[in-house]
Amino acid sequence: MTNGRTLLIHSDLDIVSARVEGRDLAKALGFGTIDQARIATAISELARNIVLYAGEGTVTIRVVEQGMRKGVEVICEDHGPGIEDVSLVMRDGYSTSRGLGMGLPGAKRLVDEFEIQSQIGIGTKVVVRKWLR
Amino acid sequence: MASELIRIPILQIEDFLVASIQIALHDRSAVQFRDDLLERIYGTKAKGLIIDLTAVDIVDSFIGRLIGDVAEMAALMGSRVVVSGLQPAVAITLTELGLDLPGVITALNLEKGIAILRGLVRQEEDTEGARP
Amino acid sequence: MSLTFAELLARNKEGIVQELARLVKEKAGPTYATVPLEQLLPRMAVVFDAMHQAISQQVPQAWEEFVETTVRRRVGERYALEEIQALISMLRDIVLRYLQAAYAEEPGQQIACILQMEDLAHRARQRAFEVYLRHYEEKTERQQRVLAELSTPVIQVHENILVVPLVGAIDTERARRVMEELLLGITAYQAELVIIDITGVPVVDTAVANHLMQTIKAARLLGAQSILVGISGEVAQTLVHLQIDLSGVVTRSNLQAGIEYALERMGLEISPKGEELSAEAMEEASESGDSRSQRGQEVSGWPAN
Repeated sequence: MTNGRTLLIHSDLDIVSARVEGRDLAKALGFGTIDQARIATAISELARNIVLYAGEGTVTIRVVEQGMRKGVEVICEDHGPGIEDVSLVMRDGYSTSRGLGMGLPGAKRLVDEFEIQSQIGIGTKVVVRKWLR
Repeated sequence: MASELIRIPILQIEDFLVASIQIALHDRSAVQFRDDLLERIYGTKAKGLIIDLTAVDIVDSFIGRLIGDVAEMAALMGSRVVVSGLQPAVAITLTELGLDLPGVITALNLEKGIAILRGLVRQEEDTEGARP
Repeated sequence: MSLTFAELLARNKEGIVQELARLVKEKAGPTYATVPLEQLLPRMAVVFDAMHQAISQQVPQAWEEFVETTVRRRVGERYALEEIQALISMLRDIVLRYLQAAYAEEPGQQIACILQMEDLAHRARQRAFEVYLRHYEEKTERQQRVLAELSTPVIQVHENILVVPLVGAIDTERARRVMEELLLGITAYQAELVIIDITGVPVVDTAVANHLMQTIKAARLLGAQSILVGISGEVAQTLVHLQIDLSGVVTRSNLQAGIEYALERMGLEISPKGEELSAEAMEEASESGDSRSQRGQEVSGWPAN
């Protein structure tokens, strides 16, 4: 039995499916409503990036274990144009609610672990994790 | 195959418009919602708009910004926007995303939202309506 | 012709049970010592039967479950774990002696049976220990949760007014819990006014200050106004130094003043919330030299509703 689901993302409808899937898994795992919302929202942000910048990609949501603790892991991958300067994109424009950009710092705040890899012409991969307290 | 656009019903109560979001909005429906709202505000010259989010459990930055935009544009048309019934989980995620919707008036629930709008409108009328 | 292990046990049931009961009463522990022998005998018989069944039907799992059920009944009692472990060891010793006597001429059979018995004894001890461990883990978890809730109380002092008294050091985890509890409280009580009392918080660093601001912003999104009280002179300095923007946050020097303000607001016509309220914060806070003597006593002096 494989753990986790991989969803194909290429439209705004898929963004909604992905975040509902994430919320449901989080709920099943025992996360409270607020953490469920954090996970779902983070997935929404990342999935939207896929649609906006790469056109198409995948979101894989699954349960992970590390010793005694359990959590949710979400892997967002695309073969889009890639990000030239990741550090620039991760810079916090916190006070600018008007700021466009990829919303990555926001998503990072919602989760416990955040990893991003990107290469021009190849694609982007973002992995986030949230652990049960 | 074109996807179905969900249209959120917009009701009129006194001088105000009320829209209650009951389902998950995907981006295109959200944009349609915004356009519908602005059209109705313009069309009815409504003094205020209440967007009720009691039934919404996930709001990401797209919708968050959209609501902020609606408030700004409505203000330009002389209408105040109140958001009511925001859930704790949503409030927290919006805040953590860095969106605290400064131009938006907030209310615990729909009734309080309407009361706030009535009060605002009365205040404006009082200040405007001073006769010599 | 030699007997099987199960047959051997069946034949010697009475002897084994009697010896076990005697030994347990004598040496297993204080609880068993007080049980009259006539009552102990049938109980030991039940243990024997479970063991016998496990051996004759080759189902150690049933034996484990039996041990688990038995232990669970006594879990949390003092001495219970030691006594049960002692009982298991005693049973094992007795059976081993019978095995040695019965299979003196059959070392192969003897060894096989001894191994079986040791296995059962081991499983029983293991399971008893696990039940205990789980019980205490759950207990600790529950206690921690209760503690967490106690340390972030949200008190409804009036129909529309909540008070959150914060005491002691606030780390990120606690700050997050406070925010969540507060917001849930606002929704549950449908309260529009929240007084956050940081009189009892000695140190406010960037992290705490940011969490406070986030909490206040999130509360506003729900439709509630926050009133920050109990900012000491030192804390005020820290906040200014950190350039925390408190404009838009209502502050008062102590809880009393905060509640008065809240009541005032409720007496007003409904007016725009969260928009034009100015920061009287710094002036109030720097006056706190006067209110310092009142601080800490205010909470108990608050009149009951």
